[in-house]
Order: sequence, then structure tokens, then C-alpha cells
Amino acid sequence: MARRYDARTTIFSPEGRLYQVEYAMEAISHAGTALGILATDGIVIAAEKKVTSKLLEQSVTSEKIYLLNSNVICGVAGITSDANILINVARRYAQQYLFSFDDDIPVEQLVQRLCDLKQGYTQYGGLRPFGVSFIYAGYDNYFGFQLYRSDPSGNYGGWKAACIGANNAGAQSLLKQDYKDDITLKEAKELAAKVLSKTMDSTTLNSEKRMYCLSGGRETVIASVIHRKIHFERFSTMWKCVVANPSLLFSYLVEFATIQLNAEGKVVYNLYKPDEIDALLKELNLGGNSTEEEAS
Amino acid sequence: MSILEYNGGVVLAMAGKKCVAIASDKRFGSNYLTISMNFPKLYQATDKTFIGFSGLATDVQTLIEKFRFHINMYRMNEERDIEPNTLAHLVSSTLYERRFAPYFVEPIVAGLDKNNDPFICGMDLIGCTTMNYDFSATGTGEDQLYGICEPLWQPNLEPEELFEAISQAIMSATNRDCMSGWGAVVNNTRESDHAYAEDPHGLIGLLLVRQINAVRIETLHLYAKLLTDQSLADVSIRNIMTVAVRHREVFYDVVSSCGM
Repeated sequence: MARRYDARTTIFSPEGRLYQVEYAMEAISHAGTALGILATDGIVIAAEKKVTSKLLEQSVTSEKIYLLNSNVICGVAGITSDANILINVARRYAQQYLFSFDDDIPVEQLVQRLCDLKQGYTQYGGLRPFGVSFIYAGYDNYFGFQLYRSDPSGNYGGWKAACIGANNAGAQSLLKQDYKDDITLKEAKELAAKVLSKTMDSTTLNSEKRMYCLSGGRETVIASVIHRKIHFERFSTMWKCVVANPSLLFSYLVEFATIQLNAEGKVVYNLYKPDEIDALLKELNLGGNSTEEEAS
Repeated sequence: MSILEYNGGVVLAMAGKKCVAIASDKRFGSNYLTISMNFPKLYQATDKTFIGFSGLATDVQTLIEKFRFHINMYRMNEERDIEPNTLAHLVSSTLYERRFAPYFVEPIVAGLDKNNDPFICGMDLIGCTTMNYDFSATGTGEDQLYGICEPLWQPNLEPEELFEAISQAIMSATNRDCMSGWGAVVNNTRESDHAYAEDPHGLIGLLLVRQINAVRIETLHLYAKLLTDQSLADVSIRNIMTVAVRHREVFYDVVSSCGM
């Protein structure tokens, strides 16, 4: 039934749906989770990135969390190449505003401009929509810390805690349970790590597998699998290909970033390095160390 | 009078040993009328790089904002700060884009590269770069600056010596040029830290020229001790001057108690 109406993005279906936009959101639901939590003194964004091969060159640059401006960061879920285009556009908008007004762009304005662009691709031109959802975290002098979420349709909303990508419904309900209005940044980081650990591995809550999944560093992940052959059996239920060919691993890596004000009232953005993520996860007893003793 | 001389002003940059200093005067005028005595023409591009623009003030302001745009985009895309020679080429291309309707500025880019070696590049209004190894000067007092820099500059100057040389040069030259002066701002970038000195009333030149005798040294020592909590034995004259100059509010007390 949908077949006749999904060829062109600029047509409504009889039920009043835009199929291309919905298919774009479907594409995003296969991508790694990204979530953001608004605290009283800052915002945290945590994201899971899926690296599919150990041959892939692991560089320092991030794949999920980006700086848009000195006062705004964003987390990405979806087609990375589409995301790169939009991020570059967002950066230019923010700098253009700075050039014209000598002031940092208010967060909502940046979100609106990007969403207006995304909306254009659903109404004219006959081009497909961008297959990316964003979570924007920013600070401005007018409304303080703000968290927004946008999707391929060009709709956006302000949130206290939001999630995009795979398992986002599950993560959203977990966030709803545990979020409280006066949450501090430290508690928000813990909550983000906990929710991420649950959504990354919703089938089993085996502590060891969780540790394996959440290790922030690539080397630690590989070591824990290769040196402990016993764990292949446990992993085989989920990743059959892994047993057959140990070199092909799904190694799950986490990205973490926070935005807050420093002592002088200046906005500070911190993208966590792998060892900092490991330290954070170890602190929360969620893993992060390859030399962990065998768990029961 | 040419449009480049309408607002007046000079910029000077000098290279030392693992350090570089850039200075500008603070006058902003409309022909013979001085409108502001606090208009420095320097822009800190990155932690280790500065651009100074002499010439038409509106173009100075616009170009500072334009380069802030480009430098921010560069930092986000490349995830590192721009190098001084790269920035110099960016400035040069930006100016040449307006080859037939130019920005009326003559910039100088000065900074430390990734090995902390000094880099200086002076340019004309359409982007012709000259990468001098010693010093570079632009503005209405350019001739005077080149004249005084030639004997004052030596190779391998230490940061404090470089600071003295550049301050002397800019104070003397602006004294002989009616379109510039009213104090100087010197940004001294060195490997170890970033010393920043500002001198609203042009007193630095005076302090450096006059000799400090024993009585005055003691006064400076006391201030230095208060400021830095170092023992008196550790503080050398150069450190005192640098320290005193860095703390602007105290500086006037120091100078007045020295009877200058």
C-alpha cells in the first residue's frame, strides 16, 4: 500500500504520512544510541559508537559527538556522511551569527536554522531527507543550559533528557524513571552511563559482557576477548560470526561529553578521552578495565 | 592624505629566541583629531599567534571579526589551532580576494610555530607577504620604526630583552609620528608562558630609559615580593620589571614610588 507513495519525498500518502521521512527515521533506529541529560549545572551527552572491524584506524576524532560552537555541542545518530554536512552547515551558521552580532548564537536559534534546512528537504527539491537525528546541548545567557532533539522531519523539541538511535524507546523510559529535576552534572553522568549500559546490551545483563562492551579503549576490548577464550562461548549466542572468525569483532565503544560553566562563567566543553571514560565507568562499577578478574 | 593614513597607527613585531613580540600603539583618530587613546590594533588569533592591523580602523575591526570566523571554523574542522604561517597565508588570500577594492589595512602576523620557533610576516594591503626573520613594521610611523629597530634588534634576544627592545622601538618611533602614539600594547609570546603588558600612559618607555638606582630597587623588590611571594634573593631586576608591568594596577604605585 505504501509503495505508491514513498517514491517521492514531497508527496503525502492517503493516510497523511510522509513515508520518506519515516524511512529516514527507520534508518536512524539502526545507528548507535546517543542520549543527553540536562542537569542544573551542565549537560552530559553519551553515545555508543559501533566499530565493525579491528582493522579500522582508530583516530582521536569522534564519530558521535561534535562541537558546533564554543557554547553548543551535539550528539549524532544516523548516517554519518549526512551528519557531517549538517554539522558543517551548523558551524557556519554559528560563525556567521558571531560575525554579524559579535555574540554567540542562542542555542534554540541554531537548532531552528538547522531544522529549517532539514524541513526544506521534505517539502521541495525532490531530494531525500537527511538520515540523521541530533541531540543539541548548549548554553546561552538568555536561557541557560538547554537540551534539544531534532529528527529528519525538521521537528525539534526541548527536553530534560532525550535519546536517539537504537533502543531509544527503552532508554527514554529508563530516563523517565530515574531523572529528577534537580539532578546535578555528576549524577547525570552516572545516569547516562547506566542507561547506556542497559540499552547497549538489553538481552543479557551479564556483568562481564557489560564490562566488555563499555570499555572505552579499543585495546582493552580486544585483549579481553582474545586472551579469554572462555568468553567466546558466552558471546557466541549474540555474535555467531565472532566465534567463526575472532578477528571480526563488534566492539562497542562509548563516547562521553559534558558541557558546563567553569569558575569564571565561561562555557567549557569536555569530550572524554578513552582513559577518562574507563575511569568513569570503573568508578560506577560498570566496567572499563580489561584486567578484571572473571566475574561469576 | 592617503586613506591608509586617515586613522593613524602603527604595528611592530620582533623575533627573539623561542619568543616573539608584537606591539601596536593605541591612538585612533580622524585626521588630526584624536578620538580615542585606547584603540589597540592587535588580535589574539590563537594561544601562540597574534595579528596586528594598521590602517583604516573600520577595516581593522571587520577583518578581526572575519578572521575570528575563519580561525574558529579551522579549529573545529581540523581539531587543532592554526599555525602562524598558515594563518599568514589565509590573511594574504583574504586580502587578495579584494584585489580591486581592497581592505585598507597592512597586517602583521606574529606567532610561535609548533616547535616554538618565532614567525613574523608583514603584508601590504593586497596580501603581498614578506617573512622577515628579524622584525616587521607597518603603519604611519613605519619609517621611524624601521629606523629604530635596525640598531635595537639583535639575533637571539631573550623574552625580557625582546620586550625592552620592542617597547623602546615603538615608544621612540611613535614619539616622532603625529598620527600614532598615546601608549602601546605589547604582546610578548614565549615558550614558557604568555606575558602580557599594557601601558595606558606610555610609561613603559620611561621606565626602561631611566636608570633604577639602589633606593628604587628596594621599593620594586618589596612590590615584587608582595606580588609573587618569592624571596628577595631570587628576584632579579628583569623579573621585577616584568612582574611589575604585568600587574597594571600596582605598576602605577611602583612608578610613583620610584619618583618617575
